[in-house]
Amino acid sequence: MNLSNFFHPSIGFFAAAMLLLLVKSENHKVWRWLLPLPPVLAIIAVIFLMKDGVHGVHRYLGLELTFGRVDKLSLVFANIFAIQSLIGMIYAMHLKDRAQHFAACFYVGGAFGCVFAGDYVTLFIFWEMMSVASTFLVWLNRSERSTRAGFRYFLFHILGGLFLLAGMLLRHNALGTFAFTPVAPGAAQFYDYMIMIGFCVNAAVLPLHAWLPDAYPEATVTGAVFMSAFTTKTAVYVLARGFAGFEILAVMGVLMTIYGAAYATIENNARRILSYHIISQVGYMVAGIGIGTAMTVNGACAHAYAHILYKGLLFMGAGCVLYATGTAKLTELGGLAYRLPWVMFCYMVAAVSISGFPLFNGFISKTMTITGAAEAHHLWLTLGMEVAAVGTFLSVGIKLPYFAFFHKSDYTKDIRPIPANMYVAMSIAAFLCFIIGVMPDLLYRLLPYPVEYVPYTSWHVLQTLLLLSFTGLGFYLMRRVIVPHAKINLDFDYVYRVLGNIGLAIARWPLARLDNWWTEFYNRVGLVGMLLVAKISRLFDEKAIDGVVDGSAYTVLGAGGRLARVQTGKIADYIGLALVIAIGVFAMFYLF
Amino acid sequence: MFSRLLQWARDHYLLMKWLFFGWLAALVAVNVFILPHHPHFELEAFPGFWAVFGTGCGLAFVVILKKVIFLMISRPEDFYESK
Repeated sequence: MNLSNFFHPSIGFFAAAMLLLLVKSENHKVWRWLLPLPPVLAIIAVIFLMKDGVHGVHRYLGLELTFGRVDKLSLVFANIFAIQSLIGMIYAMHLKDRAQHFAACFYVGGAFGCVFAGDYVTLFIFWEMMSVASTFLVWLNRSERSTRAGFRYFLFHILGGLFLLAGMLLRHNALGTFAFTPVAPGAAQFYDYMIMIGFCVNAAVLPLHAWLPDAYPEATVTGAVFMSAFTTKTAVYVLARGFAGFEILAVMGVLMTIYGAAYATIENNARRILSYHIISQVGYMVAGIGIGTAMTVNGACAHAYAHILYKGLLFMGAGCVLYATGTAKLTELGGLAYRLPWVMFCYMVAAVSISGFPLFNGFISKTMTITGAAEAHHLWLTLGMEVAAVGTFLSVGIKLPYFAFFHKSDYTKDIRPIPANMYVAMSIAAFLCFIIGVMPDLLYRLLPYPVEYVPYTSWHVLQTLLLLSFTGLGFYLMRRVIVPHAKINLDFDYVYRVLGNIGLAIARWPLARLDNWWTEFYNRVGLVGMLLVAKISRLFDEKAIDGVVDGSAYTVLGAGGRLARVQTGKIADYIGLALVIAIGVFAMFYLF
Repeated sequence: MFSRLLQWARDHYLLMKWLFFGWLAALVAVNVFILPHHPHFELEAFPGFWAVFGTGCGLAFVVILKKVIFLMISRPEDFYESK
């Protein structure tokens, strides 16, 4: 492989994960400086080293695995993934828990693997790696709730992964290739739709979205910052790569924008409000991809770029509040602007960015998608996105900060001091949200298609200010109605639970009875025949083979003993072990 | 610095309110002169359309969600744990 053209950013993250296995927690002050290195390597690689083309092609079992497809589409996502991984790692530097860093490294490495994958097999390997590693980012919050939420998250992602696997195998059966290439909307077959459903699970497309607001609020403070950036945006990338122009995505995307904003309006937990807003903002991207013109696909990519920055910052701000006070429930917070002024400031930068205020990055990306939809003559989709923009500013731009930072009564309990590294990470993100907002070309020149859109026209600025300012008036008039309540809201996860319980009941009763009956049948009929065969074999065995086999039997026994020690009976251990083996296999591929 | 600024804003609540209303009025006034060159639909060409749209959607969002949907789908916080 020629390093002057391609360096896989995942390598740095996997190497860091392996090194973390060797260090001791008490030496944290030394090894924490290791954490920003893989992101810095990734940034250098993405900005300076990568050249368009196909790199890192390996043949295995007759399959052609492509680890390095580099073009403008993969580079724009890799660019922001690299930057956000640096911000995330800095935000997490105070953590002594090596396991969290280990999971984060695998997770980010998996995301880079997906972005550069040129075929479905490679994509699938890294896709699943992300699922497993992100599950640990939930579990490592180490509470009863996070354990349960992590299992639900993992089960749902297995379901999505199975759709992807089934689709790609059927596709291979029909076309004889695993190549990950765009599908023309008119020519899509049922296996293409299965792959699309697999992608849609990770993109949290309705009604497959409920895992997101279920799991993200239960993840670790730092884990949620990573998760907000990579899972859904990797899914946006693969949808843009494979399924641009599918009208169903345009419609579902606009529904997502409104649905997420609507739930955020009535939620109480700050991190759940932000989770619903991921669905809403990813909706803009999915809609842009679904409309499928050069301008809307550009808009989707630009919005993914901007969204990763401001959503990470929002989760960092909400994470700081949770870290400092021990709660993210708005009903228990208030007046925090006096106690955590810099957190408030950074949060507000992100809040105006997500709302699409001029001078901030959301403005130059969101208006591009919406204008693109209007110019493609999708009036209703355009208006739907404008409605969602109102809901976004209402809930995450005004409601959340109002009740957490400004509203009386003020939070009077003790506040845990926030580590400096968290402030550094938030400041970097806030700076980038602003600088990209005022210098759109920094982002526009990375986009896959040439950009003709000019965001800063007098009309665009005025229209946005009108829309958002008068949304503020709406909030002012309704400020006593929108007060949060200490409740949870039913979502589609209720349906998942009902379906899960039905599945469990089927397994418990008809399947378990069938299994019992079969065991009984086997004992009575099958076993008799088998014993007879065994008796004959024994005669042969005693006479001929004993001498030869005894030696190898002892060897197998020894290996079995060692293997038994690995089998702890804990599913978390098994999943972790599988991940380590997977990375070993990846390393073998990459090196040889 | 933030704290003092915020305290000042809290102490001058009425001034802040009228400044906000003044800002809204100014935006609509500017809208009379600045209109889209190529409106994407007819209503957009009327001054104040997006002001009405923003207020209307904001009010509708809160009323429908908080007064109707929330009452139907909200449950106690331990709803799933207690099952």
